[in-house]
Amino acid sequence: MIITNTDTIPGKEIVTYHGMVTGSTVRARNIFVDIGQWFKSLFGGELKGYSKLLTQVREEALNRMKLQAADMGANAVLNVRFSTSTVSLGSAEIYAYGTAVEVRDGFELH
Amino acid sequence: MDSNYTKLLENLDVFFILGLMAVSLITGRLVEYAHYKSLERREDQLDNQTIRSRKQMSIPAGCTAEARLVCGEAVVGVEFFRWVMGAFKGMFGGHIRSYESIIDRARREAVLRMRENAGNAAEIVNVRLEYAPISYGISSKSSCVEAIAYGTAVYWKNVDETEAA
Repeated sequence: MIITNTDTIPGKEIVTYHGMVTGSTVRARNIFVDIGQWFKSLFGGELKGYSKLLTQVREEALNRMKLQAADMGANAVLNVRFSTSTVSLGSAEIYAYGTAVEVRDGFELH
Repeated sequence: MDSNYTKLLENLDVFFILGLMAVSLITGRLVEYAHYKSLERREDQLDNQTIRSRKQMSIPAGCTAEARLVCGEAVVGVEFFRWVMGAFKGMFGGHIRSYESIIDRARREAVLRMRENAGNAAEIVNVRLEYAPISYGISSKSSCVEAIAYGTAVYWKNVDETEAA
């Protein structure tokens, strides 16, 4: 599945639009990671635990979006965006959304 | 006896906070210096790759291209000294310069990771930066800055090569 955040895919043409697909994850909180990262943040520097967590959460949101697009029979998702929101204290949501489309090879030269 | 004991405890508290401020001032400065050095070095390595916030791809004549979404993220902690100074300065308003460098580091690190994830892409278009409040509500005694960068990596392919393959 091709995923981009542009309106078109080079070398492909859009056959059908399937509509919007979304995927969201609410961050899972791990108290042990939190304590370690809190301690580390006192002294500065990158918080690798949280960076990794952010990657996992984002991957998960993208995967859910892909699954939804695959269910619709799409083979590409265009114009993907990420959005975040704070649902409650101590949890954060990452939300990915885009337009599911079906594309085929269109051999256009630039 | 009792009052002496509490006075000692109070003093210990003050010394502990002052000590923590001094230690975090030093570690924070060292970490920031090293981080900026590594950012500059890695940005120099990726000099031949362009990043744009516009959507149009500039694909050279006689080439086709492949595109895919690439992301990068970074979380940078605000050390205790900076946090205290920021809170202190926040009372009077104005620029909080120490926070500006933290945000700058987080964004540049996120963009760099995105570019490293893109591998040998010729350009990355439609780059967006997003903030994710992942540490929200964890602690009131410290904080961190989170940044996500994402864009579409474009890989150029010569038409002659694709036909031959």
